[in-house]
Amino acid sequence: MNTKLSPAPPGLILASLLVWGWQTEFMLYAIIIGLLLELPMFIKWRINFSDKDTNQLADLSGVIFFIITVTVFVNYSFQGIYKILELLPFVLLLLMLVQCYGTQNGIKTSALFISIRRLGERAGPNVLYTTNIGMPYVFICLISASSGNRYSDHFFALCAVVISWLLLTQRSKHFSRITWFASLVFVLFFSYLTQNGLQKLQNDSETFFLQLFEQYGWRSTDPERTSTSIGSLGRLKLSDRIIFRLKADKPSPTPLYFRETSYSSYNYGSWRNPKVEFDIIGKTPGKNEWQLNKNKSDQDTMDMAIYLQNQSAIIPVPDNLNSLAGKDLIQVETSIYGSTRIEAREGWINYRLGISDHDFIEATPAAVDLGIPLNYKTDFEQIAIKLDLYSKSDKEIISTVQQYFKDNFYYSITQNQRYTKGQYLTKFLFKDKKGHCEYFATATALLLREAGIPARYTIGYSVQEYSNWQSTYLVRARHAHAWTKYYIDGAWHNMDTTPSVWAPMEAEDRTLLEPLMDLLSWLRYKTTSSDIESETKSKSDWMLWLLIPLGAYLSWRFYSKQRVEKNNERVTLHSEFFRLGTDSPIYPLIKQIEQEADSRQSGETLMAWIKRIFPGTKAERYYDLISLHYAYRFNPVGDKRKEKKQISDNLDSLT
Amino acid sequence: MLRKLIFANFKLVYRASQWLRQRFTSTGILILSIMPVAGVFGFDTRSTLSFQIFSITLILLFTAMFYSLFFRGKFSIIRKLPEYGSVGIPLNYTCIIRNENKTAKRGFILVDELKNQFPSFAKFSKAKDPLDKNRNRIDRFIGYPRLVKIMQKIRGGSIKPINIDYIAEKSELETSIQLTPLRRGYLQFDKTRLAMAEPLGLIQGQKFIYNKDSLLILPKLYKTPRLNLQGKRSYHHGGVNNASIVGDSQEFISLRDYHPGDPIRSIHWRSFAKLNKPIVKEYQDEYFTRYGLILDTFLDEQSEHIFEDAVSVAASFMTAQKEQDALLDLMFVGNTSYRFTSGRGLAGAENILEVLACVQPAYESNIAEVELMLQQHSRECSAFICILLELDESRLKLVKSLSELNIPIKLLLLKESTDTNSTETEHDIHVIHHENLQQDLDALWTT
Repeated sequence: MNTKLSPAPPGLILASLLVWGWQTEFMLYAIIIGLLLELPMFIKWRINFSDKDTNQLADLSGVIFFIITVTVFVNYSFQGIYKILELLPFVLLLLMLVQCYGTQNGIKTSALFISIRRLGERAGPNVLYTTNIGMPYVFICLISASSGNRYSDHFFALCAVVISWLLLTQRSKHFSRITWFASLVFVLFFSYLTQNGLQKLQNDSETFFLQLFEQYGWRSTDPERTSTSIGSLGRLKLSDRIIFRLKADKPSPTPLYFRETSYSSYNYGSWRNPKVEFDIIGKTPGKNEWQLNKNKSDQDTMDMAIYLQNQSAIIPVPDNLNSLAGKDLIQVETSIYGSTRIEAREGWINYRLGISDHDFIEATPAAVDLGIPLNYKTDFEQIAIKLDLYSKSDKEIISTVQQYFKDNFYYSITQNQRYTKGQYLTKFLFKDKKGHCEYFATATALLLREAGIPARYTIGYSVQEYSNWQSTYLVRARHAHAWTKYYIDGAWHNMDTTPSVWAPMEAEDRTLLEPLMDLLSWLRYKTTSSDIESETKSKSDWMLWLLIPLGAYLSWRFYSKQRVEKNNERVTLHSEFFRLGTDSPIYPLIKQIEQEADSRQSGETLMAWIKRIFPGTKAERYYDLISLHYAYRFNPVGDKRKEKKQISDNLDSLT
Repeated sequence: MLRKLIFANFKLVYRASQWLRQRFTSTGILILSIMPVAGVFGFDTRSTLSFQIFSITLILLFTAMFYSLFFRGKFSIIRKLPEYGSVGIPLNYTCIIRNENKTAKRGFILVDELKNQFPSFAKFSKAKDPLDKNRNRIDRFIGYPRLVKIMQKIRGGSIKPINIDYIAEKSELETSIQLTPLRRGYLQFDKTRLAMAEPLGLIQGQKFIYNKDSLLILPKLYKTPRLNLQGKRSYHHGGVNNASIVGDSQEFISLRDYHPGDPIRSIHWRSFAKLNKPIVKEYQDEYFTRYGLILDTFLDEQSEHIFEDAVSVAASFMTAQKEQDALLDLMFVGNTSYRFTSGRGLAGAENILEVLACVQPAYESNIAEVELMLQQHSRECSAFICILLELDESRLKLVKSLSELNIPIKLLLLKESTDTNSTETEHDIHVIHHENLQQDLDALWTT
């Protein structure tokens, strides 16, 4: 196989650049670059780039690519990959210019691959050769153009034209043009069908897998439904991944509860709500702020950062949330079940939580908040009778229930016994008396309901791990928690009956890699998040950090260059030594004599020449001068300055 | 263990790479490389339109692959090889291709292929590539570039593909093919591959014509002076066949350069006067000069190219010697001890070169056997040239044994590095460096 690519047909590079310009809105640049790259077709002069020049330009392209990657990554996070893709024709422009305007008509593989460069000329012709990068550039332009993601059908048609144009020059001579054309039509027809099929495949497979996840695995917080692990066998495992960060100058003595949402009806391991409607909160004019309660003002604020996997998500918030502020936020919505949903960009976002002395208004209790599943009704009646709840006041009930769970139950994240469906809570209440937070929260809510107090099951996070180094609370997936809300005296209150050992117990499962993962998470947070209010990205500071390796590389290159120059100086001095004498004052005289008399023959010495053109004694007057010149020109030792002066003096005496 | 595992996968990778190189045209490789890139960026069809480029390249390759299955035709090949080749010097040979089909064929490629064989792990792990020092650690550890080099060496040469534009039906076409031999020994021609690109010009349909042949490649030769060791002529008993041809009997044979020990009466004064150097008349007798050239073949830590250098140096000495001057014994130990005599009407240079073309390194120490051979033949030889690959204890012992013979010896040591040590100086060993081989050889007789 011939590994060397043939050049792109004339005009094709311009065509592919125009497609790129049209898709990415770089049309002006596309035209300029395209014309620059096609112009050499019409001009004859070329620049003789040495291998070293080409290597340095290739390195420079690499550095440009690195800078673009860092800049784009900092500004756009992982979404920036498409931005980088969009800029590729710029990155490769230098190499294309070298190819188009250079005498080599291609790029040596040693310029493209450092490994080949290190082998030098000994790499062998199979590895070290000059290749034309015109055709790859055409394809890079097309892939780059695809990042524009506009006018799908037109783009397909233009790609088809460019690729057909390219293939026309490569077609096999054994077959007729008709065969080639028919083959191409066939290919393009099926390609069109395939690309439609790929789109459909993605839609269908996404739907399928989402359903699968919904059924068996992870899903985002659903304000209408949550499945508990009640009844699940084995050890409950939650990851150490940091879900959100909460800025605080010092740690709070008691855990903070950040709820996501509350649920009202329970059945077979799932808590549900009726259809939840979200209310859009109006943005405060002139500010990136959303005030949940217009009548209240913020008494305190907390800075929070959360990682969003989607542009819309329910965020954990404290009960007394009053406002949300941050330039990353686009929209804020709340539901009557206490959930707060935001729309923002994906990745780490920062916002400020405004806190007031009043809890956020949640829907008043309904009949459903007193409902107990029929299969557990008798169990809770039995406990209520045992604790004499029916005759107690609301506050007494609360303290009795709290004490009951504290005295009789303990925390466990392992469940080994298999029970019949619908009897999990019964076994928890009467047999095992151990379980995790979902057992406690559910049982508490249902017991309070039995005692006539409306109660809801609430999920969210318990904020308790404080990082002194970062002055921040770190909230991990394993800090996810469930507790109960009860309604007395016209307000909802929190009640957590889960033994307080739950958090340390779950922390026992943390991996050895947790510190490393935390560091990576912090780096990612620091490099991708932005300030809450300022439009200027704080990441610019971090970009400087990322630019350190680049700076080091450039310094090294600069230092290397210096060394080369120093060496060159030495060489220059050395070579000057050898070229001494070429500035002999005799040369103008020789030129003059040559013009007047006869010029020197090839290989003829000065002395022989003088003797030839000046027969007799006339030549003798030049003998001393020539001897002096010979000494100055060819004798490496001696005082050159003095010799030069002697020649000049001798010349003066001659004239 | 890990290296063995990696090596086990090399066969697959190498075959895949060969398959790609043989089946795909350069444009085909480009399309094949673009396809996964477009696929990766187009994985999410909502983010970019790259999946459209992926679709086009995918269908292009499928179609091309399908077309390439239908390359049919009947051809025959006749190869006309020269008698010898020499390492590194391109040679041309003729190939006659006959189109047995009823239709003319155009636009295909003819590639003559040499036999390929995958090396054993032992050979792979022992092999060293001088370019390794310029490679990065991963390449050095994994060693795939080294494997490619070994495979090239096993094949023994690179053959340029020939583009055949047109061949009429039922007719023959004679074409010249260039082969650059990369190693000495016999190159085995295995088959001829005819490849024709399908209409889109991406993938080549292939047809193999099996036609085995072999070609002897002689070692690379360097410019060396004639041997001029100050050795005395030795007596060879009348039973020696050579004595009937070379010697001091009254039957005049030829004139030759004077060697110390030649009687004054043998000097041919007219020639002396004419050439200004002593020339003697040669007569038939049992006395004649006989040089021994000992080639060290035991390859231990050295790279194989040092051994190749040693063979080349030996071959250069053997060919530089004029046949009428003296007899020359080439001695080395491979599986067994070998001694080949050339000169004076016995084996010619080409025979010795053929022997040297096929000499293989021994991986188990054989220096003791060399010493034994030396004891057997030392009395017959006037001088020795010994080409060593290393200077370890056993070789030093050999050097000492040679010195004790009290006959002129020339000790050459092939080395990769340019440093010299005191042992070499002490024993008057001439170091020949891999990088400056010719210069060191030139300097050999002036030092």
